[in-house]
Amino acid sequence: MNSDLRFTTGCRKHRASEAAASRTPSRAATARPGGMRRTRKGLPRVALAIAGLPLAQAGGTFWLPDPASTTAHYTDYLFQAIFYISAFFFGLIVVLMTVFLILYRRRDTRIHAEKAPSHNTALELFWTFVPLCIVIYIFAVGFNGYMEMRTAPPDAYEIRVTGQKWKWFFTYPTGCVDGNLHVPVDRPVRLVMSSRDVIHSLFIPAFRLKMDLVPGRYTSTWFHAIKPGTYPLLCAEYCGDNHSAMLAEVVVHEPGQFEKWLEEASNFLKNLTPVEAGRILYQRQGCAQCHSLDGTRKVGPSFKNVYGEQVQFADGSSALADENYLRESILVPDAKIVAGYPPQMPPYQGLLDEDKVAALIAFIKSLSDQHADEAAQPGGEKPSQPGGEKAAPSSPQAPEKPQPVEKPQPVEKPQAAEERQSAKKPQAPGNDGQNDGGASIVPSQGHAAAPAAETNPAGRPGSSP
Amino acid sequence: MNSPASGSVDYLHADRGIGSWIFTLDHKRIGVMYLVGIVASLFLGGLFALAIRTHLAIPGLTHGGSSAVPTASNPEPVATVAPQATAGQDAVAALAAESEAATAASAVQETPKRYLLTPRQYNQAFTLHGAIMIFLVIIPGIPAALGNFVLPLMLGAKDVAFPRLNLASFHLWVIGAIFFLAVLATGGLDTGWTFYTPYSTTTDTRVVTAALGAFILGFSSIFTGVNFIATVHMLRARGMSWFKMPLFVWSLYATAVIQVLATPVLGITLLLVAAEKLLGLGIFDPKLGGDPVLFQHFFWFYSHPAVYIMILPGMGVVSELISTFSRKHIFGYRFIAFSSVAIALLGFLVWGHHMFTSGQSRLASMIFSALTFSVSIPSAIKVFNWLATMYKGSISLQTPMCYALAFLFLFGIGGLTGLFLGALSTDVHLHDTYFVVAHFHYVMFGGTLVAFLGGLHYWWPKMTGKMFNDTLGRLGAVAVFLGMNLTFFPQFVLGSRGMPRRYFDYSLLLDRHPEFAGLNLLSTAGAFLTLIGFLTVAVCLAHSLWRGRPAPANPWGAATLEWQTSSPPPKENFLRPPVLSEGYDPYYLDDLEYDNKTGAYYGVPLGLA
Amino acid sequence: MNNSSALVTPSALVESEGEHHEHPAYVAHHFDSAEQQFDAGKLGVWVFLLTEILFFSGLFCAYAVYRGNHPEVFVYAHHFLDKNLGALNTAVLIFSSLTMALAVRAAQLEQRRALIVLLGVTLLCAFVFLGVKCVEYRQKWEHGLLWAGRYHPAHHGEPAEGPKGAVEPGGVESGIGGEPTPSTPEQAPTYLLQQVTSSEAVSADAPRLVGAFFSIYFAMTGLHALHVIGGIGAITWLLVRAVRGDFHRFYFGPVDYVGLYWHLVDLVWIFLFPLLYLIH
Repeated sequence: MNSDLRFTTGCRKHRASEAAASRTPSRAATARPGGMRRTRKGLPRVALAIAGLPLAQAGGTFWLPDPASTTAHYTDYLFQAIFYISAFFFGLIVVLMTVFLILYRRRDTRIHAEKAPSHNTALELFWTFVPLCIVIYIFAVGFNGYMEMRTAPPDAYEIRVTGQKWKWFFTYPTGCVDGNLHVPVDRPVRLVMSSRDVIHSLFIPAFRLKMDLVPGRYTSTWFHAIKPGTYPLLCAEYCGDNHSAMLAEVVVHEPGQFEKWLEEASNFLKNLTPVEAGRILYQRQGCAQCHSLDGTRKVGPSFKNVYGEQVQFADGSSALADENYLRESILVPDAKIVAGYPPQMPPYQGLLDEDKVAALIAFIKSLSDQHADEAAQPGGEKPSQPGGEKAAPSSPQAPEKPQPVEKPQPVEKPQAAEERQSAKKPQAPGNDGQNDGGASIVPSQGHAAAPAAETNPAGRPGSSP
Repeated sequence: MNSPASGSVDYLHADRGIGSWIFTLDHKRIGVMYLVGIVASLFLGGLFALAIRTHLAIPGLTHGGSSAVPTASNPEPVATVAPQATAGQDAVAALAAESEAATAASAVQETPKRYLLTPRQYNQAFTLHGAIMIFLVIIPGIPAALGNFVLPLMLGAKDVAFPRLNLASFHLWVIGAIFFLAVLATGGLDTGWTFYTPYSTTTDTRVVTAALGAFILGFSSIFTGVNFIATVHMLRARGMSWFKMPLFVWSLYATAVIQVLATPVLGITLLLVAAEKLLGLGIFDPKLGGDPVLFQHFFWFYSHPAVYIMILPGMGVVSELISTFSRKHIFGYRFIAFSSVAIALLGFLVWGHHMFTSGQSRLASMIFSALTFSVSIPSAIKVFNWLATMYKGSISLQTPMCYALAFLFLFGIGGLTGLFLGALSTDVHLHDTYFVVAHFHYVMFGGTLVAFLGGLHYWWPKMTGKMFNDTLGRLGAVAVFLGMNLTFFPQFVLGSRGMPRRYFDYSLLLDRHPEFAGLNLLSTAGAFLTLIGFLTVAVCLAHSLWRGRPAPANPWGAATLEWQTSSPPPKENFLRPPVLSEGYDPYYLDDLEYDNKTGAYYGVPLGLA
Repeated sequence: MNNSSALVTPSALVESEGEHHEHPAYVAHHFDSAEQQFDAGKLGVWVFLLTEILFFSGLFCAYAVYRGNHPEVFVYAHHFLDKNLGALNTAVLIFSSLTMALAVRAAQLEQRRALIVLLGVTLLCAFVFLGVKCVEYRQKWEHGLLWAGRYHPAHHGEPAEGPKGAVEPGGVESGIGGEPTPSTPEQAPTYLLQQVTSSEAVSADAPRLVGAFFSIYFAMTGLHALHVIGGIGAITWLLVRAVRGDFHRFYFGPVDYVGLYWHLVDLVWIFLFPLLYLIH
């Protein structure tokens, strides 16, 4: 999906073209010996051909992905510069080594070396000062870029980021919480970040952006996206079992679209059936990281057929999984631990209000074969596409929902400004999920799950097709 | 002095029985015991590395899909790849498939996704790989094994200053290793070797055992450092002034300074982590008013200088090798010696460059970045001086020299890619990606381990009294060199294109980055080539023990003192303690003449009585 | 100490080194002379003390960071420490340092009896120090004034109890678990502030996170106490050897080395006492 975006978006800003310009010389063959880098894509092509795998490098130079923020060129420029400096010195070392090896190889007729000076202070000072000057240059350029990358413009749009094993929460000024980072293309965005458990690190390669999320304090960073599209957002600080699945997407909206998205995302509970809203919350609140919809065992028990079952607990007791049980399990998970699963779930007490809990419970009920109909009743039709094998109603819903991720459902107000949304917020205090955000993931869920049970647990952000 | 110790028994045969080894005070025997332990640990750490690389070889292995019916889609990835793969990758795929089949049952129970390792196993594999390689192999590798053996010989001393402390250091090393094995046996460790809080204080794996193990190993390292400092100060042969010491001794001295000053900070840090885990001390726990970033400062205050504990002795070895095998005086002795000391001292001031993205202040980042670059200068000086040593030399490509040249190549890449990571703006992008992984493997493996192998081959005749087969030795060097490059060069590209380190599963990134699959496969193929290299080295050295011809006192033609006694040396090192006159120069090689028949060098170096 | 013997004439040394002249039993085989052995040992001990200093410096850094982050906690919590006992311990340790120094002198002068007595007094002081420390720890224990994870102050008159709700690790489960503790109020999400201030356990004058002070207190004094115990072991060993009559004017190194170590232990306490007990 990203490739479409990359080619369709024409709004390369000046910075981007600068960066692109600085890239072009890299096409030229370098003096790097060992042939490690012949042309821009020469090596991977060869390498991948050897490996017998499809190549298709996803854009960018050989070394770096496509830059997509106003500050990316600082990194890219310096990367290129150091690359050439390194290539030069490395080439020098290897060439000298090789030449000496050939010229001065030991011959049977001559064991001892020729006489040569054993030191030369002027020469040694020379090769002390040349590297010194070069590293001073590198430091200065790096420092300059870093200051730009760390100093947020005062008018930046502020989004709160929370990391928690192993999911991201992005809280917008309206109070809406989303699992993906939606941003406008035409203004800088400042992220104020913290972690609920261990240290995480927000990493957006396309923006050359990385900053740790530390429990107990706030860190902040900022960026200004220049190209609409979606970009991967990763956790770069090791945080446990599912570290590599702690992914999300950055969705950079076309001018004007972000406000629409936010408007809609902030009101989804009102507009959707509980089951559908529950499905969105399932994605948004990170349930999908640990609970499958199709019976697969993940970190936690699957939601499929949980409702109405007799559940065995670790302490030997058991209980019927009714609404009250589900509610307690969501809000205070440690109260009862299902036998065979680690007590790893964080409590949602205080994170979810009653409407959302109710929506989630309705959604979970819809996943139970026996109770699906019952759950579907109040919610209308679209309770369950998960897992394909779900016998629940309305497969027609699946095609209806899928929307291009970055095209939010157009809602009426095209230029909804933030003030308006914040003004709106008090009206619907309970609603801080989001409508369209849900749409962006739900279809991918539908896609992944529809062709029968195969590929990755589509619940993971970033895995959309 | 050049004559073999006809009258005296060499140290290997001086005493018999296992007790004469375990409780020996002879630095040579302690060095050999260290060597055995370190090679065993290297093997263990290498197994974990292979497990990691095999796991990551093919995304099909880590990306089985979420289905409860694995048979439907899962064999596919392996099946589609294998037919097209070359022989090498085919083997990888087959091996991976096998082990997968073996673990299939448990894997399905654990998780229906098809993995070679479960996430927990994978995290433990890279943690233990890192912890074993760093604490048990690379840090003690050159100083405690080779240095212990060679340092007193090079100084013309009978032993290190504190033989009992030396033995205690080895015994502590063994106890530390046992702690690590206990970690392995009782549930593993999944924090990464860095023990970052609060992850390490909240995980349910064996953090306390591992922290105590590393604490004990730290004291083992400190004891070695104290010993070397005192030895260098007090026990140099008569007439050996500071600037007549071999450069390897300089590098060990600089290393010892770091060991003594940096390691205790790691010790207290690990104690605090253990206390936090056991008692809830809370020094690093934000919920109790602590500061998790403080841990990082403490940790890197040790662990960055520790990088120089690892690399400086390697540089010292290479200084010896390049001079000896170029048959030429080392170029710029004083610059090299002082650069070792400079690296040791500056190395204490740069720890913050591991934390550019941790939220430390911009001012701190700026200062640490600037200081970081200052460390690169002494390294650059050394490289140029080594090249200048080769100029107009008489270069012999014997096995140790092959390793020295490999070191120049690999450390060149490792050092230069350090520039990317020291510069602020590029580090933000590259931090915690595979670029970093590749960088420090080029330095630690391509630098330290390759130098260790070079030094091992160089002093092998002195340690064992046997010559190894040079052709086989060179073959091993080439295989290790190629395997190392194939393993880690692709990781630079992986990292700069955005693959974070410590990723159990990169299949979710493949939509955007299809190139990750091929690069990872290449890297895994390289890991197996490296394995072949190490096996070749092992065969070569083991073969020499049984079949090697007896080593002459001075097989390579070096002028440092360890070659002026028999191979292997007598228990007391020198039959007559060497006495140096004004004119002694450890790098003046022209007085040594090669004898074609015996394949050895004869003659007494200038200035040796 | 520095063996810069480059200029020593080789011939003279060959003379002295050529044959294996008899080593006295107290000189190890690899040393040439008792002086060399003594100097090497002393250098080794100094280097080891450097290690020890850096070992403690980690905790001193932690102290500085903690105190910088929570100055009010330190001011509040140090009232729980007994200044009199601390001062007593300081005096005891300083006195023991004096007796230790005199013991070294006695060893050098071959005054065996004085050596034994002085070492005995030093040992006694060390035990007194530990005894007083035990009394202090016991008081803390009884009042629940332990490190942060176990900080459950009992009700008593003085500056009242600590802020239970905010300190307990169980706070996580309260639903806001792990939310950052804001360094400035305006950064704090308002519900977090409400949570804290509405907690009934918070008394008016007790700052949050008082346990942090006791974490540092126990870590630093505990580690120091471990060093005192180590010193007791070393001094006992010296005492045994002194009784055996091992030391004389050519061989008193171990007394000197342990003396240096003991002075360091003393010195660390001299820093700990004002930093922990005498805060304003």
